[in-house]
Amino acid sequence: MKIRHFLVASLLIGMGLTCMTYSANSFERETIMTFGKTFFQIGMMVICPVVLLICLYLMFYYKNK
Amino acid sequence: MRISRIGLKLAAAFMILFIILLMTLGMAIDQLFSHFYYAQMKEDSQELASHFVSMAKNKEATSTTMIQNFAEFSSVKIVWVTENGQVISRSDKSKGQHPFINQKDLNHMFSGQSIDFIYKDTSGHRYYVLGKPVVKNQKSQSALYIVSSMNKIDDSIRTVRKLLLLSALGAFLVALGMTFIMSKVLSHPLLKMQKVTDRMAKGDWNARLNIRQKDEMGMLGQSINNLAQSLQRYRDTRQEFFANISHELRTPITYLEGYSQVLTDNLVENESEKKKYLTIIHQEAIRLQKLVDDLFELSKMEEGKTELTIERLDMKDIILNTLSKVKLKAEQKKINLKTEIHQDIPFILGDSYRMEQILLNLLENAIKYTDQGEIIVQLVSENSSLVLSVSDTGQGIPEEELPYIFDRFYRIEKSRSRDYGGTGLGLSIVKKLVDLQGGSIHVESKLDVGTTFTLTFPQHEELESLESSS
Ligand SMILES: Nc1ncnc2c1ncn2[C@@H]1O[C@H](COP(=O)(O)OP(=O)(O)OP(=O)(O)O)[C@@H](O)[C@H]1O
Ligand SMILES: [Mg+2]
Repeated sequence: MKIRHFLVASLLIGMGLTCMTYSANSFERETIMTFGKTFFQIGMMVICPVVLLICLYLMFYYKNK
Repeated sequence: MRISRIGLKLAAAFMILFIILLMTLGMAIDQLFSHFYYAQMKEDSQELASHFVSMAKNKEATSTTMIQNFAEFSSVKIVWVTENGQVISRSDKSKGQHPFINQKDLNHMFSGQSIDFIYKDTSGHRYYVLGKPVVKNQKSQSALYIVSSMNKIDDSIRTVRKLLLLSALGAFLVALGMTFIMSKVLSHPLLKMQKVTDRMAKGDWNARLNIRQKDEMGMLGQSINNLAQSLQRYRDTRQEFFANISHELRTPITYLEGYSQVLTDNLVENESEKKKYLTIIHQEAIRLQKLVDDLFELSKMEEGKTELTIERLDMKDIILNTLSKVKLKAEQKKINLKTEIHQDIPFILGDSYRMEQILLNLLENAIKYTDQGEIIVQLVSENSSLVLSVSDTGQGIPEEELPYIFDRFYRIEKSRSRDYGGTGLGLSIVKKLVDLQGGSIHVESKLDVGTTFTLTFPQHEELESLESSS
């Protein structure tokens, strides 16, 4: 796993999140603030399960050790 | 960037799965939205229609204008018709026809039911048409058509659809990014294994995999490491083996060469010296013969090509047989041969010829490395296994050399073996033969006190059950 791969992946994820935020925000007044807020919320929805999974994995890992 | 095929396959599988999910979900949401809007509009129109109908029922004269105003206000079109389809009044000023009015619907309405349908005009606009009878004194007198344009709803649905597509694209991109990372992580150890095995195939047996996972991948990596290790050991021992062989062969050959040279050049002074040289040549030839025989035996065993004829063995017979063979040698060295054979010795499974070979080797060693004293062969049964030991009162083996005496060509002090003429293969053959027959060998020794070799053979299960039943 190289830095380059992480960059490509995060670029893709970022683009995806922006798309979703844009569509979620289309009925709102468009300001940077609301956009940022929605972006943050959607990002959290993505990050939370990932963090949860990593935590679970680490827990099992140390239990086995 | 190196594209790993397994990663690609994994990613493709994930993405296909994801697209299928996304499409079904999108369809569901799209349907949900259109049905929701449609239901909303139906409800609104229904409400509006009942207002209009109650208005139409009340005052015939004034209601016409009122209805028209009201219709304009709620941005719908109203068409008020009689039973045969004649328009009494209409809200829009245009004099166009009303192609959605037909007799069948009218009949329906005048029998007291309301109707609704979606009508599409020539320019492609969609309208929701609701028809309701105006009932007075339990009789349908006329009917109202309420026509509301669906333009707005269609526009909304179109926008929602676009936004749905956009968020689907977003979700797709997010999934793509995550799958990218995941496939990299999953295929990384495989690629590493491939690289390392490649290096191994090219002869670099020191290459090792460093995989700490505990799953199948980790196990595979561990297996690869083990394989490399055993191959490395194999290569090393083979090299050592060849070096040893050539060395072992060279020594007797130099003797043969030297002494035969002396004899051919007639450098001997008298007959007895000549005889001495000839004896040496003869001995070396015998040694060479034995060496070749042993090597052949050993290599056959290492390749697993020795065939054993397994049968029920009576160890007593074998011991007595072997002892009679070495009796002469022992007598020459004035060594006492003693046996201690207990009663009730269990039968074991094994190859009698090989068993004799084992015993012969051990006894020969004992006689060879004992100058005075006695040799005791003991046969006892212990925990239902057979224990055979050969002890002598000879020179013994230094403790630090004990672990190596079963190695090929291993001899204690090269000078010692020179005197006795050993090759160092005897014990390694013994060890192999014992292993082949499911036994174990163990040695105890003290320098200048004596040596004891102990063999243990477990009683075979079948024989055990046979014996206990009889
Ligand atoms: N009973 C014993 N007492 C003392 N030393 C022993 C005894 N048996 C074996 N050894 C030592 O162990 C070494 C290895 O024995 P092994 O039988 O393998 O070889 P060898 O007797 O020298 O040759 P070969 O048996 O092939 O003729 C010998 O060189 C010897 O020094
Ligand atoms: Mg020997």
